[in-house]
Amino acid sequence: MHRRMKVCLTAITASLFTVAAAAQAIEKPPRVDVDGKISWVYDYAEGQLLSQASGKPMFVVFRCER
Amino acid sequence: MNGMNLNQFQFEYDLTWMAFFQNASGQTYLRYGGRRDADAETYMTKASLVRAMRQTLVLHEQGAAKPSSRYEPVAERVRTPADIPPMRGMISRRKVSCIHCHDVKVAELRHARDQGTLRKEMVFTYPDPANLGIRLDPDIQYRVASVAPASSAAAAGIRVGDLVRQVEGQRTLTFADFTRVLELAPASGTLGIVVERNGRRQDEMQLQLRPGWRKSADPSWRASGGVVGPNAGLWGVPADQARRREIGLTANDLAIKVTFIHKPWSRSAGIRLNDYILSIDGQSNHMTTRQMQSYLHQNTDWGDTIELVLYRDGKKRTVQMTFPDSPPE
Repeated sequence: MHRRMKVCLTAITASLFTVAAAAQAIEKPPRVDVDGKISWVYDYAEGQLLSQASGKPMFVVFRCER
Repeated sequence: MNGMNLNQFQFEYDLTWMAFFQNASGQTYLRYGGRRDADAETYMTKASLVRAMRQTLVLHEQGAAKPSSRYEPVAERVRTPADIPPMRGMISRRKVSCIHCHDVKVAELRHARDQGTLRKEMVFTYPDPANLGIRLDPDIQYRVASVAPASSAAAAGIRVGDLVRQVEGQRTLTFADFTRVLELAPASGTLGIVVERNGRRQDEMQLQLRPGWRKSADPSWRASGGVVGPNAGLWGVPADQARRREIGLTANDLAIKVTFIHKPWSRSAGIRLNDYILSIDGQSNHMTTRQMQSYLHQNTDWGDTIELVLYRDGKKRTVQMTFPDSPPE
């Protein structure tokens, strides 16, 4: 990824709550920090609570986790 | 997809990646994701993702999430993948618990089959706006990049450079937003579209929904395709150039080398490993193995008998393949 683009994406993503909704499995993956700034939340309801508390919108992603 | 509320998150389940931007109440600002038949990543550019994130922040500031509607529901009633009857058996046979997006669509189609309501065109979900003649700009996904000649879009008066503001009254900022409206569009009739041209909002134009408009030319990427029809019961790779020359074929001709046979109907037909398929059900134009399977899904039915032309030991031979009357479990 282009360095400037990466910085830009990271900065914007930090303004959103990042919810990896695909993985609401029985065993939830641990939170993983990306560049020390993005922490994916693997629970939609928890993401909603964090979004409400912070006033930030959510970035809800469905992807193949494994 | 384990435990996800399918009433809330309705999207193209044949995809491997999809995103929603929402407020804390679950109302959607915009969708992001989707693909063309020919390429999975055309509409997954960094520029468009950054744009979608910035648009979301502006809409969030304005409190402009979409109100709950059939397009972007905030569902109170919960329906999870486990509520689709065929999914229960699929889950019990799994070694790992993860339910993929395409599993949900496969289960929905199998349920329709069990109910006797399955139609082959059900595979064609979330149609590409290109089906109506509109190719969206991959980076600015509300901008019309091209208009196909003689298409519905051309007939409606859509032009290159138009900025799509609304379709059927819905804000469509991304390719995924547009396909969501198309998913809920009828089989025939018209679709209202509002564009901005040279800074001025135009009067609503009408896109004609022509017969079969939801179908696309190459659904072979869709994992769900196999539910609606039989497959060849084998796998293969394209013949190399030397073999094509030997057989007297061009690059436009079908020539698939059989590398794996996994169904009784392909064995019963007399097909062997290293045979070359030169024609199947009368189709002799070049196809990948996936496209060949997709052709059978869409154009043949369980119980049908089809003809194949094979090449083996320097000779062509014709064989018949009969599919079982119903799909094996």
